[in-house]
Amino acid sequence: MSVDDTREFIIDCLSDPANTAKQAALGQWLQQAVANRTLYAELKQVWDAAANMPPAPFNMEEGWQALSRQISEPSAHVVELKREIASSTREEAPGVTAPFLMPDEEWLNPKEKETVLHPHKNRTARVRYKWMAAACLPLFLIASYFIWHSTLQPVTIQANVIKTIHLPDGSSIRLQPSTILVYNPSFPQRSVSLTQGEAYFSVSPDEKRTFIVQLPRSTVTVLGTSFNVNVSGTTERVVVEDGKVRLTTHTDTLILTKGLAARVSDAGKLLQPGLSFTNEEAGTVATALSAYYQVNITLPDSTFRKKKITANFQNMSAGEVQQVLNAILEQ
Amino acid sequence: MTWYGTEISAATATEGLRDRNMEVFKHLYLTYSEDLFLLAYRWVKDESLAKDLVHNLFVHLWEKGSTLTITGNVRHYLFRAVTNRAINELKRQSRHISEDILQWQADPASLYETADYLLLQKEMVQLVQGLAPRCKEILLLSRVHGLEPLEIAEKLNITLNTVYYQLSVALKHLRLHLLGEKKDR
Repeated sequence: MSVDDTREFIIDCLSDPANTAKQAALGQWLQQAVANRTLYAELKQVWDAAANMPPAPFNMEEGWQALSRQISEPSAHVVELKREIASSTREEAPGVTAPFLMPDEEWLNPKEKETVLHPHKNRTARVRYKWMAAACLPLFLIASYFIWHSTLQPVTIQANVIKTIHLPDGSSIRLQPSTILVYNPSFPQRSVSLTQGEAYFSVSPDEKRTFIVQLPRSTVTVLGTSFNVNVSGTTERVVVEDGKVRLTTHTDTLILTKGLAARVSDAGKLLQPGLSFTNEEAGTVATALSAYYQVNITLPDSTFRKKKITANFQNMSAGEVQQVLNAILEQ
Repeated sequence: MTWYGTEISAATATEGLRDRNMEVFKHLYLTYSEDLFLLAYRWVKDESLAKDLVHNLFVHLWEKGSTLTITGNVRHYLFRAVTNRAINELKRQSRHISEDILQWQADPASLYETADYLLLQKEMVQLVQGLAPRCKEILLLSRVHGLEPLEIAEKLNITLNTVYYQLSVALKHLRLHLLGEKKDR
């Protein structure tokens, strides 16, 4: 037999194991030579392995899209929907009061949440029964109306426990109790509004879209970074953990980088803590400034070390700070 | 994209899941999802079911992250998790649970064999994608869908000889690349 014929012969035998005549012929052929047995063993190995193969390669991109979509749906959003549906049927929805955000387990009727609100999206209940799918349809229509309706409108979150929300772009926000955050769940622009309380932001980098946090009197603009925001009474404070943010008010703009912080004063000016010194030794001031700016701020002369100065180094670059310090000391 | 080939330590994974760290979570997905899919497919032999099992496992990791502690090898932990889910699903569907899967579950050493198995599967899937369309179609009909050559011939309206020829071409291609040596005699 030629090589090709041999292969076809083997395949014929492999694909027809019940045929005794073929198996007998195979057996005879195998006995004839070691080479035959080797060839057969190899083809059989490939033949069997091919049977275990999925028909198509795993599409990781698609899998990730589906997964991140599902986990990004904030439960607050779900809660909001439930509240609307409940009030539309004029029932006192149990447990729905303000603040209405609770850990998932406390929600009564979690199953209802799954089938009513996400009959298609919730894959943790793989629905195999057609009757269940049919029953979901009218509920799905109601739910989809509210989902559609509410994606056009912002959602307000008032947390009474520490709550982390996950946004569709991959960013997350950890809210302290009594924090009020407003945002549009479908997140067409990356923009949220914090009117009260404290939150820690972890923002996904997206060069094409800046992430904006609107505070009562200032705006934080970010590319991708992590930072903390605190609004209490009339004070607003931003502390940057990583990356870079731009903080703006009507009058001032400040770029804050890792480790830096600023607050908005009563007068609406941006103040950076730790840059204001009253009657401090110049040496101490220089050390503090160096640490703050991560740059060596030096004294023009070591004799100035113990000289006491009072100064405020707000809104300056490291270079400017050095110049001002020199000027003060040389007076 | 080689970064995603690196293994993650149990400590990093546990902490990342507890904190709902999206970066760690995504890293886990990108590193392990394909292998988990192939392993799940091995057990359930159903492409979309296998995808669902993997998807649900990751949803579970995300949502119940605060309650999980992963010790030892993250890969092994995930493989065991997806296998358990596969077994549960097979039971739920009242399908036959083969000896293979139970054996795998019981034997800790099986995890090492699995690494070889997965490598082979991945290579094969890639190689099959490289076959000519008709050749690939016939191979899948035969091996994945279990049709006999005669059935394939009838279905595609071609001769039996053509079927054998195409299968032969496919096997030759696979054997050549999988078994490493250029044995074209």
